[in-house]
Amino acid sequence: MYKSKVIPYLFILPMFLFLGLFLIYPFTVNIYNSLFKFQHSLDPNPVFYGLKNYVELFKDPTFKASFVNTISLVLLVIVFQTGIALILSLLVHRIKVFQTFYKVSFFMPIIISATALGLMFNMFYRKDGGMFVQLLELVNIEGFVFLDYEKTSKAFIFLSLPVIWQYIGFYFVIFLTGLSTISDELLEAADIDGASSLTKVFRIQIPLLRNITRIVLVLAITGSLKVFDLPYIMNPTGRPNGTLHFLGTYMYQKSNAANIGSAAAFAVMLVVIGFLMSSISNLVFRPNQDL
Amino acid sequence: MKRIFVLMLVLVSGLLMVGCEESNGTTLRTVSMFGGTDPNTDAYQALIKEFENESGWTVDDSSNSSNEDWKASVIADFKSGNEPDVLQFFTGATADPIVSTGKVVSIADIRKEYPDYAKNISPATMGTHSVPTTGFVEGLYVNTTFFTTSELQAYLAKDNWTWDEFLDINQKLIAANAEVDGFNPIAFSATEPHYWIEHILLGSLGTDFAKNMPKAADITANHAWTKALLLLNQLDPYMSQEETADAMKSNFHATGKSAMYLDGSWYAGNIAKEDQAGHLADVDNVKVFPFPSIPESLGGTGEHYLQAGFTTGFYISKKAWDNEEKREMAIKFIETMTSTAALTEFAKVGGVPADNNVVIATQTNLQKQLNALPAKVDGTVMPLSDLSKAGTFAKLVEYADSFVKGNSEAAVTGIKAYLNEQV
Repeated sequence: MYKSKVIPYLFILPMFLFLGLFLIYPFTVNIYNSLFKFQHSLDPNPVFYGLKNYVELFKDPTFKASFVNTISLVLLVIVFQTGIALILSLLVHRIKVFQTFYKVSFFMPIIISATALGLMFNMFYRKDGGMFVQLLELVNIEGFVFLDYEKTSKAFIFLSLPVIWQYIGFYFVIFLTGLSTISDELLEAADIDGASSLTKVFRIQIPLLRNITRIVLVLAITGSLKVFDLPYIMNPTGRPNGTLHFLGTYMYQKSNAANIGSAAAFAVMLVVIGFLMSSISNLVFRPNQDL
Repeated sequence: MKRIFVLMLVLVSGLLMVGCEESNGTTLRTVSMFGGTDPNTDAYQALIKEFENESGWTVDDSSNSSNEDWKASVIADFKSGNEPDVLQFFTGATADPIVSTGKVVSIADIRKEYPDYAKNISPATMGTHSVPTTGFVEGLYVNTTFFTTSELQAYLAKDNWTWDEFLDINQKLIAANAEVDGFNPIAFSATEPHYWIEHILLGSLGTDFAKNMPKAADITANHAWTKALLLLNQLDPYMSQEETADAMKSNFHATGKSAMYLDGSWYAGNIAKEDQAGHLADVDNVKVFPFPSIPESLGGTGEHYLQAGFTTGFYISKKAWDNEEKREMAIKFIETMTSTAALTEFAKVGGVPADNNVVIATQTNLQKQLNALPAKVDGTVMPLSDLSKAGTFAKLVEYADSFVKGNSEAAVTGIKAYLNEQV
């Protein structure tokens, strides 16, 4: 059986059929639909529109805003989400007491449903009686508005906060696993040579985590490109004026509109953007076969 | 190893079988907007139980409060072949995707087979494909307990208000209720500003405005549509600016933090039936007024208008119609839901019944207020959301912040984006 060249293909055939039916076929139909203009979602005779759906998308100010917001979120995620996860993993890796407690605590936000999290943060941010507002009032900071839709950059930061916070634990666990694969002998040898803790971190641990970091960054980037649940719960209409939409939430709104060709074009663009960003990330962090 | 594999295969097969529902030919799938927080939910569920007890059939009901997402999900179900047997849904442009493609059966075709189908319903209210239950009117709910001064009470004695009077009322309400913590005259949320957008356009442009929509290219800061929508900026100081629609509604009917709220007659079901203390709303202390008239000096017509109509009804899907047993069930289900007795129950919650035989023994003060609204206006029209292309009204709603905050540049962008989607 192991010598047969046909049997391996038979084993992967079911999954290939599944992928074909639920991924390749819908994606192909989606590309096809993006070339048409529909009068409504059940329109049996859509009109051929060529690339106009894509052109209109690039001219749409809400699309531009959602693109900028999503790229900004990606940058925040790279710096803060993966950065904090790395720092926490380095710290937790060093301690012996309560290590399990910290691992569990930092991982907890992942298991909370995004819907519950979004509703929770909506309550925390409430102008009248929200938990965060009450905490600020305890230190005599009155009238602070977290989701201030007249200052969109400020509202953007606080909308992004739960998105960033939720997955720190996930990448923390990945980094921690990576750190545990680094040989203790390397670190002991560095100790003998008189290396400080920081030197060991920057000269040994972080370089040896290169491949793990690449994987984490790709996951973080692709995850934040398609973020939907948290921003949708907290700000479904992208207030104000759609300027705080993300690509995922705006695409969802487009899918409810009459011309689903436009929504199809949006979906194709999202895939292209995701592919480009993953490729850039892979290029910058080329896997190191020696590690 | 082999035994473990066989055991796992058996377990998985068993789980799959548990997951499969027994295919039952006596189950009717229904979808309606009488779910969630809709005040008609209790009456609807009671009628379902009555139908199940009498017919012996089972109703698999998936109802939800209606919003733009729900409307889109219903259309998506038809697209994917997952449509229900009976649907209670909007009429007009919202239903165009399912009506124009023949996904639901027309009343004319139903009556060829069932001549007495829904014969109790007034012909003037009957749709081409749907059987209505209750019609609606939309108005400004006013909690009179906040109108404590003689000047405010003089306004309550009038049938309707002008825009200038409305602004004066808001200013006086703030002055008279300074001690009420968190008080804002108008309960409002930019996440659900639909009625304000529709009414300000209607009041400014008249009943034909939706039939004569301008081209997007013609919209400027000085266009009538822009000026109309930017009038909402004059109300900004008086609006509560809640983050969610539920918080907005609660401000009026539950927590006594707002004096006025714009909504349809169905909202009356949320208002307490018993006397409430202090500023809490109940059916006796709430009055309903038409939306204020917009004067010509502000680009309006000076007249009062009402958004009203019979814009929802029960449909039978073509899929159910083509199945003889389901066809029979669907007919009986809809006749149960639209019988005189059923419409009496729905009308008690709010709205004008589509059956002229409905008699409500004791109408609350609030119901009388709502039924009297058509007599206080100069014209009636269907809502803009029903006259817009399916799914496109959300585009205008998205720019609510710009209208309320007086951002004319963003307002122009929003109006253009909405009009572009009407083409």
